[in-house]
Amino acid sequence: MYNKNLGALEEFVLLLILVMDKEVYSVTLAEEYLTQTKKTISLPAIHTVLRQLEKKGYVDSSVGGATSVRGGRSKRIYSLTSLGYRIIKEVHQERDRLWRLAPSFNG
Amino acid sequence: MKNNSFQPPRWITFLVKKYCSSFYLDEVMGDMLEAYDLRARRNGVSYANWHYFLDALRYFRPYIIIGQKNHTHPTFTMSITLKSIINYSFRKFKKQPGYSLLNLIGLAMGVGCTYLLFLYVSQETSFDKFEGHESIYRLGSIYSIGGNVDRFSNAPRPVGPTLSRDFSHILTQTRIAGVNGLYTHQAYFEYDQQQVTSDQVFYADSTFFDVFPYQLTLGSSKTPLHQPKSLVLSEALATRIFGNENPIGKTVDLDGTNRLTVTGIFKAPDFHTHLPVEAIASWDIGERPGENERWIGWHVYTYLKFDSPQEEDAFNETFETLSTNYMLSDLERLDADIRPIIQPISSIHLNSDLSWEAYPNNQWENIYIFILVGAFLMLIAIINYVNLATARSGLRAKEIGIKKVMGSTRQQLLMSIILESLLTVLVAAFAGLLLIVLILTPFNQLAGVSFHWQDLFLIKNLVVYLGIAFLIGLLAGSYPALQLSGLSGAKILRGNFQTSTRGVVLRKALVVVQFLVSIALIASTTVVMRQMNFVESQDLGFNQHNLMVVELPQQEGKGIESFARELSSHSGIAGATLTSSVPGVELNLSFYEVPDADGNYYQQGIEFMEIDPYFLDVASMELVAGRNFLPGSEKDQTASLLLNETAVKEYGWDGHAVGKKISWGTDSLGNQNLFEVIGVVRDFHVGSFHTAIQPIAIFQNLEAPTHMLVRIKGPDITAPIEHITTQWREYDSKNPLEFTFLDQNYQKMYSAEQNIFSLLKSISFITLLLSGFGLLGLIAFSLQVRRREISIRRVLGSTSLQVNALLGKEYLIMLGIAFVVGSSISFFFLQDWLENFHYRVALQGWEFIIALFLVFLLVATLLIFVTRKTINQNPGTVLKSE
Repeated sequence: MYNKNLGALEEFVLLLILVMDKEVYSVTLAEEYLTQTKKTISLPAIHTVLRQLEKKGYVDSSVGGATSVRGGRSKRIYSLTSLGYRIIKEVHQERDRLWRLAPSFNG
Repeated sequence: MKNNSFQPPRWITFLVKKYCSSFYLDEVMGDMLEAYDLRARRNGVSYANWHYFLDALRYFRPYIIIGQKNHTHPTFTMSITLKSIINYSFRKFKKQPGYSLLNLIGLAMGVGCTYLLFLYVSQETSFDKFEGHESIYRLGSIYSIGGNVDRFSNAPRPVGPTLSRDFSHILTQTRIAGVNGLYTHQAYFEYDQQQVTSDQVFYADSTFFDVFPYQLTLGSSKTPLHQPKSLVLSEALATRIFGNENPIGKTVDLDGTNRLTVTGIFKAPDFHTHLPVEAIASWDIGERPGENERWIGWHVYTYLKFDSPQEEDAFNETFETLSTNYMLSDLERLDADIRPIIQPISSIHLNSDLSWEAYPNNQWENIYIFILVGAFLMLIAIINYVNLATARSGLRAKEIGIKKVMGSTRQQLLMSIILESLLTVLVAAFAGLLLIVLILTPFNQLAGVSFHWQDLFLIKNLVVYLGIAFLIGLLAGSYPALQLSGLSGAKILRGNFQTSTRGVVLRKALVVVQFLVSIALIASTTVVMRQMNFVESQDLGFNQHNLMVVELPQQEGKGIESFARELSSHSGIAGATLTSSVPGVELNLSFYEVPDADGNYYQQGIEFMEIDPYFLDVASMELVAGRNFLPGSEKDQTASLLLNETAVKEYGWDGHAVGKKISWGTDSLGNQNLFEVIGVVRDFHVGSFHTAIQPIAIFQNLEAPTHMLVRIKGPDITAPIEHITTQWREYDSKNPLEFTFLDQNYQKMYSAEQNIFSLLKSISFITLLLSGFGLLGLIAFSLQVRRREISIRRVLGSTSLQVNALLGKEYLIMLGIAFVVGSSISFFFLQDWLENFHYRVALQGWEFIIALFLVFLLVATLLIFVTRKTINQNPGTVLKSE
């Protein structure tokens, strides 16, 4: 089923987490966003989205290590939960199905 | 990889640390720093700075600020919440109900009384502030005739219309006067055999509603006063006369003489005004032949509406043109001078004190007095709170110490103590509101206003009330808060806390101020009381007691004379007299010619009375020379007069006044009308003691008397009054008998002073009470500090009297300072106040001693009362416990 409870940015962030092969936290996510879309996104925006996703149970977080460039501050590292994985997969399949039903577009 | 050379702006970091909750601080700060580093290397420092700032701005969100319950790192910060403060306040109240109640009552009185005074001041300063009032003025006139200057609140009849016709910047004018003479506006209406009285009945030009923005609710015409014999009523009066009937088109009798048709109804104005009206009749009912063309005398209130606000000088020129054009011949004949006085309509209520005002006005002085008193009360309430709070700081020190050690910051303590005082004041504010509902009636009488308890609860007023309470709470709470939160926690807990002397000096100063105010107020009350007693007990030159003043309806027939004569047949009535002048009412001013030593006549301004031959006897006035008017004597009616002693002295006729001839007016052929002085009357007070006795000429005039004075023998006054009432009903069935007693009228002349007197009485009482509260706190505090000392003294054999004397010494010094300062300040004020009176008592000094003594008595009583327990305690227990 297509889940209406998933915003466009939320879906995109979930996909980014899925494809990223390094530690996922606000700064790396913002970087990945920039690489993939050539658009910038602010840290607070990412942070808010991640918090929402965590509330919905699609991602999980743990407190990670500090580095000197962070002024000795620890970071919050996010990972996809199985529920989160299932949800973006469902969204993807739903869209695929609809695409297959679509007649060819002729302007 | 590692590069420390990039430093983000410190202030932004500081701000984020301030607002960000500890739960999110690590990740937020860390992310921001890492991103800053990244950006700085990739896009340059200024780009990074800018985005660092934007991030800081965008992280400012509720969830970041509030944070979540921290499960991982509990920190040892004291959490001081509103709930804990409320809890704490309640516990404290239970623990020390006495102090807390004292505190609360003091604050409630302070806040409540300040609120009441605020309401009063804001009402009194809002008079006639309707839309467009800035260009409306009342025109008065200043006459100088033969050296006498009179300032009238009104002007001759033709002045208004002529001004508005001749000068284009005067848009319109309206003239208005009381229906029974200029400032007499009481009348009765008769409809369907029912009589309804109103004391706000005037007649006015048809332009009345162009000047005064009264809203007409009923009636078709926009100019309802245009038709002769028309009448416009207020909604309230219309209901009183007509009940539920539609009043438009109905006819009603005014004072039994005029039949008027109601042509309009107006709504009560939503502003206060110096000229309240309930009924306005059309101009024609006040018109008598020739009066409208008289350029001198026969005044009416005249209001001018200009096209813009006016400068006084500009108007003086306008008026000068008018007076040269129309009044010159009259003025030259009288050797008189007339000047205009224009008053902005909104300034009249507080600033105008001219002759013949339609209603008595208030004065700015009263407003200042009320503001001053309000400030006093507020000050004293704050002083008390500060006093009691600092006095108890010793008890609170432990609490503060523990809170500090547990990790409270100074700000937290500061906030919590101020919040606590705000909370106390809020509770006090509620109590204060109840308090003023209780004292509203006496206050209304005192201030001459009519507040309703619902006015107290109007939202716009309540907002101010809470504002006052908030201000007092803030002011009162900040000193104890600063002092207490500044204490060092560790020191207190180690037991090194000594009650510091800083607070003591301040507290003593505050109590000195309270003593000072109390002494000044009590002394003032005593002096004002002495002056009022003086005014009441002084011989007025006639007997004002048991003298009944009957108002005679206009156009009374000749029969009134025999009616008056017959009254004295009743055993309770000594006599009756008909007169046009009543003592206690301003006399009319005229001018006549007096011969000097060489027999040449010169003009003199003179106040005059018109009486009948029985007046002197009935009023119990004395002749010091000559004789009274003889009843029936033709010559006494047309060519004789009496003078008072002051007049005789002024003309230099001491001892030989009788037989002198003065000249008053001319007869039809233009010859002098000579009057012979037949007697000299001992000086009597017709006015208040504010003014000196003026020269007075007394003529006999039996035409159209306005009043009848009846001397009642007393002490029984009911039977004579009943007799007069029945006789009157037989004599005049149309007009009801209207009477007052002269001594009551006399007291009305001092109503302003009476008000100040009652105000002073209540304020002195409140101040004394509040000072007592403050003192109680101070004594209790010093006892607490000196408990050991007292115990040791007791052990060594001091008597309780000696201990009291020891403790009392410092209060005596404070009292001494307060006495010197307080009595000198009030001395100057009182001197000033007494100068308002021409006849007055002298300051004698003992008024201040009495005040000192009263305050001393308060101090001594409180001291003995409070120390009793400590002194009688077993000294051993005290000494053992420390």
